[in-house]
Amino acid sequence: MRKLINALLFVMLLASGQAQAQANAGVIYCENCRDPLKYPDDYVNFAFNQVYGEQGWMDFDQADDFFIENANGVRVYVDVDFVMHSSEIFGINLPIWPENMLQISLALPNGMIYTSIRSIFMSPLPVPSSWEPEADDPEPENEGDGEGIDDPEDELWPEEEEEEEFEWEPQGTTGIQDPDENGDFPETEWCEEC
Amino acid sequence: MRNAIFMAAALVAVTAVYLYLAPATRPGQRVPAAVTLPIPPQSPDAAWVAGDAETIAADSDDGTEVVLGLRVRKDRNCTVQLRDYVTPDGEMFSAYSCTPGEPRPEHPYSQYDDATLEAMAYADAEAAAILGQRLIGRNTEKSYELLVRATALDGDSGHLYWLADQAFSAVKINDDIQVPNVMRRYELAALAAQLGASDVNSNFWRAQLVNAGVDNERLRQLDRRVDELLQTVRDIQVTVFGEVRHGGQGDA
Repeated sequence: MRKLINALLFVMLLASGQAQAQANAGVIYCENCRDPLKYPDDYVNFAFNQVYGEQGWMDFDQADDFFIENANGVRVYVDVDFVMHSSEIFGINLPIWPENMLQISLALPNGMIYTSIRSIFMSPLPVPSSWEPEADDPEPENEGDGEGIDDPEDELWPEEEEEEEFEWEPQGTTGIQDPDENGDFPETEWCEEC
Repeated sequence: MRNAIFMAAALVAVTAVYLYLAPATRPGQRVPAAVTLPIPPQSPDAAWVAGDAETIAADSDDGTEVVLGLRVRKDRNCTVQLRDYVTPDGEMFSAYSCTPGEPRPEHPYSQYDDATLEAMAYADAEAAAILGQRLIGRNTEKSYELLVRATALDGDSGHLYWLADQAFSAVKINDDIQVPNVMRRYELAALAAQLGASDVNSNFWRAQLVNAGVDNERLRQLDRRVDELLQTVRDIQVTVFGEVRHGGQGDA
Protein backbone atom coordinates (compact mmCIF):
# COMPACT_ATOMS: atom_id res chain seq x y z
CA MET A 1 0.00 0.00 0.00
CA ARG A 2 2.77 2.34 1.01
CA LYS A 3 4.71 1.61 -2.16
CA LEU A 4 1.60 2.15 -4.22
CA ILE A 5 0.99 5.56 -2.69
CA ASN A 6 4.60 6.57 -3.20
CA ALA A 7 4.60 5.38 -6.79
CA LEU A 8 1.36 7.22 -7.46
CA LEU A 9 2.70 10.43 -5.99
CA PHE A 10 5.92 10.11 -7.93
CA VAL A 11 4.03 9.68 -11.19
CA MET A 12 1.84 12.64 -10.30
CA LEU A 13 4.93 14.72 -9.64
CA LEU A 14 6.45 13.81 -12.98
CA ALA A 15 3.19 14.36 -14.82
CA SER A 16 2.55 17.73 -13.22
CA GLY A 17 6.10 18.85 -13.99
CA GLN A 18 5.78 17.78 -17.60
CA ALA A 19 2.36 19.39 -17.97
CA GLN A 20 3.67 22.59 -16.43
CA ALA A 21 6.68 22.58 -18.74
CA GLN A 22 4.48 22.16 -21.80
CA ALA A 23 2.03 24.79 -20.60
CA ASN A 24 4.84 27.32 -20.39
CA ALA A 25 6.63 26.31 -23.57
CA GLY A 26 6.97 29.12 -26.07
CA VAL A 27 5.45 28.99 -29.54
CA ILE A 28 7.79 29.77 -32.42
CA TYR A 29 6.38 30.70 -35.80
CA CYS A 30 7.69 28.84 -38.85
CA GLU A 31 6.51 30.31 -42.11
CA ASN A 32 8.06 27.66 -44.35
CA CYS A 33 7.10 24.57 -42.37
CA ARG A 34 4.64 22.44 -44.28
CA ASP A 35 2.26 19.68 -43.20
CA PRO A 36 4.09 17.98 -40.31
CA LEU A 37 2.67 14.57 -41.20
CA LYS A 38 4.22 14.75 -44.66
CA TYR A 39 7.27 16.86 -43.92
CA PRO A 40 8.37 16.38 -40.30
CA ASP A 41 11.93 17.24 -41.26
CA ASP A 42 10.86 20.82 -41.93
CA TYR A 43 10.21 21.07 -38.20
CA VAL A 44 13.36 19.18 -37.22
CA ASN A 45 15.54 21.47 -39.35
CA PHE A 46 13.71 24.56 -38.16
CA ALA A 47 14.12 23.54 -34.52
CA PHE A 48 17.83 22.91 -35.06
CA ASN A 49 18.28 26.34 -36.61
CA GLN A 50 16.64 28.05 -33.63
CA VAL A 51 19.07 26.39 -31.25
CA TYR A 52 22.32 25.94 -33.10
CA GLY A 53 24.40 27.65 -35.75
CA GLU A 54 24.54 31.17 -37.05
CA GLN A 55 20.74 31.55 -36.89
CA GLY A 56 20.51 30.18 -33.36
CA TRP A 57 18.90 32.46 -30.82
CA MET A 58 17.08 30.32 -28.27
CA ASP A 59 18.72 29.48 -25.00
CA PHE A 60 19.34 25.74 -24.89
CA ASP A 61 17.26 25.34 -21.74
CA GLN A 62 14.48 27.25 -23.44
CA ALA A 63 14.72 24.93 -26.41
CA ASP A 64 14.19 21.90 -24.24
CA ASP A 65 10.45 22.35 -24.68
CA PHE A 66 8.75 24.51 -27.23
CA PHE A 67 6.15 24.49 -29.95
CA ILE A 68 6.49 25.26 -33.63
CA GLU A 69 3.40 26.57 -35.37
CA ASN A 70 3.14 26.96 -39.11
CA ALA A 71 1.16 29.46 -41.18
CA ASN A 72 -1.88 27.17 -41.14
CA GLY A 73 -1.93 27.10 -37.36
CA VAL A 74 -0.68 23.50 -37.12
CA ARG A 75 1.27 23.17 -33.90
CA VAL A 76 4.02 20.63 -33.21
CA TYR A 77 5.61 20.04 -29.82
CA VAL A 78 9.41 19.90 -29.93
CA ASP A 79 11.93 18.52 -27.50
CA VAL A 80 15.64 19.14 -28.12
CA ASP A 81 18.39 17.36 -26.23
CA PHE A 82 22.08 16.86 -26.68
CA VAL A 83 22.97 13.25 -27.38
CA MET A 84 25.14 12.34 -24.43
CA HIS A 85 28.12 10.04 -24.45
CA SER A 86 27.50 7.58 -21.67
CA SER A 87 29.84 5.38 -19.77
CA GLU A 88 29.04 2.33 -17.70
CA ILE A 89 29.89 2.84 -14.06
CA PHE A 90 29.01 0.06 -11.64
CA GLY A 91 26.66 -1.39 -14.20
CA ILE A 92 24.80 1.86 -14.74
CA ASN A 93 25.04 3.88 -17.92
CA LEU A 94 25.75 7.44 -16.90
CA PRO A 95 25.81 10.35 -19.36
CA ILE A 96 29.29 11.89 -19.31
CA TRP A 97 29.59 14.55 -21.99
CA PRO A 98 27.58 15.70 -25.00
CA GLU A 99 28.29 14.21 -28.40
CA ASN A 100 28.27 16.40 -31.50
CA MET A 101 24.63 15.63 -32.11
CA LEU A 102 21.24 16.99 -31.15
CA GLN A 103 18.27 14.70 -30.72
CA ILE A 104 15.09 16.41 -31.82
CA SER A 105 11.78 14.75 -31.01
CA LEU A 106 8.49 15.94 -32.41
CA ALA A 107 5.02 15.17 -31.07
CA LEU A 108 3.03 15.29 -34.29
CA PRO A 109 -0.65 16.23 -34.40
CA ASN A 110 -1.66 12.57 -34.92
CA GLY A 111 0.09 11.57 -31.69
CA MET A 112 3.15 10.08 -33.34
CA ILE A 113 6.55 10.73 -31.80
CA TYR A 114 9.10 11.37 -34.54
CA THR A 115 12.71 11.34 -33.40
CA SER A 116 15.60 12.50 -35.49
CA ILE A 117 19.20 13.45 -34.90
CA ARG A 118 21.19 16.29 -36.38
CA SER A 119 24.94 16.68 -36.41
CA ILE A 120 26.22 20.12 -35.52
CA PHE A 121 28.72 20.44 -38.32
CA MET A 122 26.70 22.28 -40.94
CA SER A 123 24.15 24.99 -40.44
CA PRO A 124 21.72 26.45 -41.11
CA LEU A 125 19.65 23.51 -42.27
CA PRO A 126 17.16 23.99 -45.08
CA VAL A 127 13.53 24.83 -44.34
CA PRO A 128 11.62 23.50 -46.24
CA SER A 129 13.77 20.45 -45.83
CA SER A 130 13.41 19.23 -49.39
CA TRP A 131 12.44 20.25 -52.87
CA GLU A 132 8.77 21.04 -53.15
CA PRO A 133 7.17 20.33 -56.51
CA GLU A 134 5.27 23.23 -57.97
CA ALA A 135 2.45 23.02 -60.44
CA ASP A 136 4.69 23.33 -63.49
CA ASP A 137 7.51 21.17 -62.18
CA PRO A 138 8.00 17.56 -63.19
CA GLU A 139 7.55 14.76 -60.73
CA PRO A 140 10.41 13.93 -58.38
CA GLU A 141 13.14 11.99 -60.14
CA ASN A 142 13.34 9.15 -57.65
CA GLU A 143 12.16 6.12 -59.47
CA GLY A 144 10.38 3.07 -58.20
CA ASP A 145 8.14 2.47 -55.26
CA GLY A 146 9.53 3.78 -52.04
CA GLU A 147 12.84 4.79 -53.59
CA GLY A 148 14.51 7.04 -51.08
CA ILE A 149 13.73 6.33 -47.49
CA ASP A 150 12.36 9.70 -46.59
CA ASP A 151 10.19 10.29 -49.58
CA PRO A 152 8.19 13.29 -48.42
CA GLU A 153 5.16 12.12 -50.34
CA ASP A 154 4.81 9.20 -47.98
CA GLU A 155 2.80 10.19 -44.96
CA LEU A 156 4.01 8.90 -41.66
CA TRP A 157 1.49 6.24 -40.92
CA PRO A 158 3.15 3.32 -39.19
CA GLU A 159 0.79 0.70 -40.53
CA GLU A 160 1.50 1.79 -44.10
CA GLU A 161 5.20 2.18 -43.59
CA GLU A 162 7.24 0.39 -46.20
CA GLU A 163 10.97 0.52 -45.62
CA GLU A 164 13.01 -0.15 -48.70
CA GLU A 165 16.72 0.20 -48.45
CA PHE A 166 18.31 2.93 -50.44
CA GLU A 167 21.07 1.51 -52.58
CA TRP A 168 23.74 3.56 -54.21
CA GLU A 169 26.42 1.80 -56.17
CA PRO A 170 29.82 3.37 -55.59
CA GLN A 171 31.74 4.23 -58.72
CA GLY A 172 34.65 2.06 -59.68
CA THR A 173 34.03 -0.68 -57.15
CA THR A 174 31.76 -3.65 -56.90
CA GLY A 175 28.51 -3.27 -55.03
CA ILE A 176 27.35 -5.36 -52.11
CA GLN A 177 26.30 -8.79 -53.29
CA ASP A 178 23.80 -11.02 -51.63
CA PRO A 179 25.10 -14.22 -50.09
CA ASP A 180 24.43 -17.54 -51.76
CA GLU A 181 22.16 -20.18 -50.28
CA ASN A 182 24.97 -21.25 -47.93
CA GLY A 183 25.36 -17.75 -46.58
CA ASP A 184 28.77 -17.28 -48.21
CA PHE A 185 29.75 -14.13 -50.00
CA PRO A 186 31.66 -14.24 -53.30
CA GLU A 187 35.25 -13.14 -53.28
CA THR A 188 35.78 -9.55 -54.35
CA GLU A 189 37.73 -9.29 -57.59
CA TRP A 190 40.19 -6.44 -57.61
CA CYS A 191 41.75 -5.08 -60.75
CA GLU A 192 45.44 -4.97 -59.95
CA GLU A 193 46.45 -3.40 -63.25
CA CYS A 194 44.02 -0.51 -63.04
CA MET B 1 2.41 4.01 7.08
CA ARG B 2 3.62 7.08 8.93
CA ASN B 3 6.72 7.12 6.72
CA ALA B 4 4.59 6.93 3.59
CA ILE B 5 2.48 9.86 4.72
CA PHE B 6 5.60 11.81 5.55
CA MET B 7 7.12 11.10 2.14
CA ALA B 8 3.87 11.97 0.41
CA ALA B 9 3.71 15.27 2.28
CA ALA B 10 7.31 15.99 1.36
CA LEU B 11 6.65 15.28 -2.30
CA VAL B 12 3.58 17.51 -2.31
CA ALA B 13 5.59 20.27 -0.64
CA VAL B 14 8.38 19.95 -3.20
CA THR B 15 5.83 20.02 -6.00
CA ALA B 16 4.18 23.10 -4.58
CA VAL B 17 7.47 24.92 -4.20
CA TYR B 18 8.52 23.92 -7.73
CA LEU B 19 5.26 25.10 -9.27
CA TYR B 20 5.39 28.33 -7.29
CA LEU B 21 8.93 29.17 -8.29
CA ALA B 22 8.94 27.79 -11.81
CA PRO B 23 6.95 30.51 -13.60
CA ALA B 24 9.61 33.06 -12.71
CA THR B 25 12.45 31.01 -14.08
CA ARG B 26 11.07 28.44 -16.48
CA PRO B 27 11.92 29.10 -20.10
CA GLY B 28 8.97 29.64 -22.34
CA GLN B 29 6.99 31.53 -19.77
CA ARG B 30 5.14 34.46 -21.21
CA VAL B 31 5.21 37.61 -19.21
CA PRO B 32 2.97 40.53 -19.98
CA ALA B 33 4.41 42.39 -22.92
CA ALA B 34 5.37 45.99 -22.49
CA VAL B 35 3.17 46.93 -25.42
CA THR B 36 -0.43 45.85 -25.67
CA LEU B 37 -1.00 43.84 -28.80
CA PRO B 38 -3.53 45.44 -31.13
CA ILE B 39 -6.43 43.31 -32.32
CA PRO B 40 -5.59 42.14 -35.83
CA PRO B 41 -7.93 42.52 -38.76
CA GLN B 42 -9.38 39.26 -40.07
CA SER B 43 -7.50 39.27 -43.31
CA PRO B 44 -6.81 35.88 -44.90
CA ASP B 45 -3.77 37.33 -46.66
CA ALA B 46 -2.13 38.60 -43.55
CA ALA B 47 0.59 36.26 -42.36
CA TRP B 48 1.14 38.41 -39.33
CA VAL B 49 -0.71 41.44 -38.12
CA ALA B 50 0.92 42.82 -35.01
CA GLY B 51 4.23 42.79 -33.30
CA ASP B 52 6.18 43.66 -30.20
CA ALA B 53 9.71 44.90 -30.40
CA GLU B 54 12.32 43.41 -28.13
CA THR B 55 11.77 44.22 -24.50
CA ILE B 56 14.45 42.89 -22.24
CA ALA B 57 12.89 41.90 -18.95
CA ALA B 58 15.80 40.21 -17.27
CA ASP B 59 19.51 39.92 -17.84
CA SER B 60 21.84 37.24 -16.60
CA ASP B 61 25.51 36.44 -16.59
CA ASP B 62 25.19 33.15 -18.43
CA GLY B 63 24.99 34.75 -21.85
CA THR B 64 21.22 34.84 -21.93
CA GLU B 65 18.46 37.34 -21.30
CA VAL B 66 14.70 37.26 -21.15
CA VAL B 67 13.08 39.00 -24.09
CA LEU B 68 9.30 39.25 -24.29
CA GLY B 69 9.08 36.45 -21.76
CA LEU B 70 11.40 34.13 -23.62
CA ARG B 71 14.95 33.32 -22.49
CA VAL B 72 17.25 33.87 -25.46
CA ARG B 73 20.93 34.15 -26.23
CA LYS B 74 22.60 37.54 -26.07
CA ASP B 75 24.81 36.77 -29.06
CA ARG B 76 21.89 36.23 -31.44
CA ASN B 77 21.92 37.83 -34.87
CA CYS B 78 18.22 38.56 -35.03
CA THR B 79 15.43 40.53 -33.41
CA VAL B 80 12.96 38.67 -31.22
CA GLN B 81 9.34 39.48 -31.92
CA LEU B 82 6.01 38.32 -30.57
CA ARG B 83 3.31 38.64 -33.17
CA ASP B 84 -0.24 37.62 -33.80
CA TYR B 85 -0.84 35.53 -36.87
CA VAL B 86 -4.04 34.73 -38.70
CA THR B 87 -4.45 31.37 -40.39
CA PRO B 88 -6.26 30.99 -43.74
CA ASP B 89 -9.24 29.78 -41.70
CA GLY B 90 -9.33 33.06 -39.82
CA GLU B 91 -8.03 31.70 -36.54
CA MET B 92 -5.52 33.78 -34.66
CA PHE B 93 -2.52 32.70 -32.66
CA SER B 94 0.48 34.38 -31.07
CA ALA B 95 3.99 33.17 -31.69
CA TYR B 96 7.58 34.25 -31.37
CA SER B 97 10.03 34.66 -34.18
CA CYS B 98 13.53 36.01 -34.52
CA THR B 99 14.03 38.06 -37.65
CA PRO B 100 17.59 38.42 -38.98
CA GLY B 101 18.76 41.98 -39.42
CA GLU B 102 20.18 41.25 -42.84
CA PRO B 103 19.25 38.43 -45.18
CA ARG B 104 21.88 35.73 -45.41
CA PRO B 105 23.95 36.19 -48.56
CA GLU B 106 23.46 33.44 -51.08
CA HIS B 107 26.34 31.43 -52.45
CA PRO B 108 27.21 32.62 -55.97
CA TYR B 109 26.71 29.10 -57.27
CA SER B 110 23.12 29.00 -56.05
CA GLN B 111 22.14 30.91 -59.18
CA TYR B 112 23.45 28.18 -61.46
CA ASP B 113 21.16 25.54 -62.89
CA ASP B 114 21.58 21.84 -62.19
CA ALA B 115 23.35 21.04 -65.46
CA THR B 116 25.96 23.75 -64.94
CA LEU B 117 26.62 22.65 -61.39
CA GLU B 118 26.88 19.01 -62.43
CA ALA B 119 29.54 19.89 -64.98
CA MET B 120 31.43 21.93 -62.41
CA ALA B 121 31.08 19.19 -59.79
CA TYR B 122 33.77 17.10 -61.48
CA ALA B 123 36.49 19.02 -59.66
CA ASP B 124 34.67 21.68 -57.64
CA ALA B 125 33.60 20.56 -54.18
CA GLU B 126 31.32 23.53 -53.61
CA ALA B 127 29.42 22.89 -56.84
CA ALA B 128 29.03 19.23 -55.93
CA ALA B 129 27.84 20.13 -52.44
CA ILE B 130 25.34 22.75 -53.57
CA LEU B 131 23.84 20.50 -56.22
CA GLY B 132 23.83 17.54 -53.84
CA GLN B 133 21.95 19.56 -51.25
CA ARG B 134 19.57 20.90 -53.86
CA LEU B 135 18.68 17.41 -55.07
CA ILE B 136 17.91 15.97 -51.63
CA GLY B 137 14.36 14.63 -51.66
CA ARG B 138 14.20 14.95 -55.44
CA ASN B 139 16.90 12.50 -56.43
CA THR B 140 18.41 10.95 -53.35
CA GLU B 141 20.83 8.69 -55.21
CA LYS B 142 22.29 11.59 -57.18
CA SER B 143 22.44 13.69 -54.03
CA TYR B 144 24.32 10.88 -52.30
CA GLU B 145 26.80 10.59 -55.15
CA LEU B 146 27.43 14.33 -55.25
CA LEU B 147 27.91 14.79 -51.53
CA VAL B 148 30.33 11.87 -51.34
CA ARG B 149 32.14 13.48 -54.25
CA ALA B 150 32.22 16.83 -52.45
CA THR B 151 33.83 15.10 -49.48
CA ALA B 152 36.36 13.43 -51.73
CA LEU B 153 37.28 16.76 -53.30
CA ASP B 154 37.65 18.93 -50.21
CA GLY B 155 37.96 16.36 -47.42
CA ASP B 156 35.13 17.94 -45.42
CA SER B 157 33.14 15.26 -43.63
CA GLY B 158 30.39 17.77 -42.96
CA HIS B 159 28.92 16.87 -46.35
CA LEU B 160 28.51 13.28 -45.18
CA TYR B 161 26.87 14.29 -41.91
CA TRP B 162 24.54 16.63 -43.77
CA LEU B 163 23.59 13.84 -46.15
CA ALA B 164 22.98 11.42 -43.29
CA ASP B 165 20.80 13.94 -41.46
CA GLN B 166 18.69 14.92 -44.42
CA ALA B 167 18.39 11.72 -46.45
CA PHE B 168 18.10 9.26 -43.56
CA SER B 169 16.50 11.47 -40.99
CA ALA B 170 14.08 9.39 -38.94
CA VAL B 171 15.88 7.50 -36.21
CA LYS B 172 12.86 6.46 -34.19
CA ILE B 173 9.16 6.58 -34.79
CA ASN B 174 7.16 5.91 -31.65
CA ASP B 175 10.25 4.38 -30.03
CA ASP B 176 10.72 1.93 -32.93
CA ILE B 177 14.26 2.36 -34.18
CA GLN B 178 14.42 2.82 -37.95
CA VAL B 179 17.17 0.33 -38.67
CA PRO B 180 17.65 0.99 -42.43
CA ASN B 181 18.18 4.67 -41.76
CA VAL B 182 20.53 4.00 -38.87
CA MET B 183 22.55 1.62 -41.06
CA ARG B 184 23.02 4.34 -43.66
CA ARG B 185 23.94 6.83 -40.98
CA TYR B 186 26.49 4.40 -39.59
CA GLU B 187 28.06 3.90 -43.01
CA LEU B 188 28.42 7.61 -43.60
CA ALA B 189 29.74 8.31 -40.10
CA ALA B 190 32.21 5.43 -40.42
CA LEU B 191 33.35 6.79 -43.77
CA ALA B 192 33.85 10.19 -42.16
CA ALA B 193 35.91 8.55 -39.43
CA GLN B 194 38.02 6.78 -42.07
CA LEU B 195 38.64 10.18 -43.63
CA GLY B 196 39.99 11.57 -40.39
CA ALA B 197 36.89 12.77 -38.52
CA SER B 198 36.16 11.75 -34.97
CA ASP B 199 34.80 8.23 -34.56
CA VAL B 200 32.32 9.39 -31.94
CA ASN B 201 29.42 9.42 -34.39
CA SER B 202 30.17 6.07 -35.97
CA ASN B 203 30.56 4.46 -32.55
CA PHE B 204 27.25 5.94 -31.51
CA TRP B 205 25.42 4.59 -34.57
CA ARG B 206 27.10 1.21 -34.31
CA ALA B 207 25.94 0.96 -30.71
CA GLN B 208 22.41 1.80 -31.83
CA LEU B 209 22.53 -1.01 -34.38
CA VAL B 210 23.83 -3.47 -31.81
CA ASN B 211 21.10 -2.44 -29.40
CA ALA B 212 18.55 -2.93 -32.18
CA GLY B 213 19.70 -6.52 -32.59
CA VAL B 214 21.68 -6.21 -35.82
CA ASP B 215 23.99 -9.21 -35.91
CA ASN B 216 27.74 -9.26 -36.46
CA GLU B 217 27.51 -10.55 -40.02
CA ARG B 218 25.33 -7.60 -41.02
CA LEU B 219 27.74 -5.25 -39.29
CA ARG B 220 30.61 -6.78 -41.24
CA GLN B 221 28.67 -6.21 -44.46
CA LEU B 222 28.25 -2.59 -43.50
CA ASP B 223 31.97 -2.30 -42.78
CA ARG B 224 32.78 -3.77 -46.18
CA ARG B 225 30.50 -1.19 -47.74
CA VAL B 226 32.36 1.53 -45.85
CA ASP B 227 35.59 0.19 -47.34
CA GLU B 228 34.04 0.38 -50.80
CA LEU B 229 32.93 3.94 -50.20
CA LEU B 230 36.42 4.83 -49.02
CA GLN B 231 37.87 3.29 -52.15
CA THR B 232 35.42 5.36 -54.20
CA VAL B 233 36.59 8.52 -52.45
CA ARG B 234 40.21 7.66 -53.20
CA ASP B 235 39.38 6.84 -56.84
CA ILE B 236 37.77 10.24 -57.28
CA GLN B 237 40.83 11.97 -55.84
CA VAL B 238 43.22 10.00 -58.02
CA THR B 239 41.14 10.78 -61.09
CA VAL B 240 40.87 14.50 -60.37
CA PHE B 241 44.12 15.30 -58.55
CA GLY B 242 46.33 12.41 -59.57
CA GLU B 243 46.87 11.50 -55.92
CA VAL B 244 45.01 10.60 -52.73
CA ARG B 245 44.69 13.80 -50.74
CA HIS B 246 42.18 12.84 -48.06
CA GLY B 247 41.45 9.42 -46.62
CA GLY B 248 44.87 8.01 -47.35
CA GLN B 249 46.52 5.45 -45.15
CA GLY B 250 47.70 8.20 -42.88
CA ASP B 251 44.17 9.45 -42.33
CA ALA B 252 42.52 6.08 -41.92
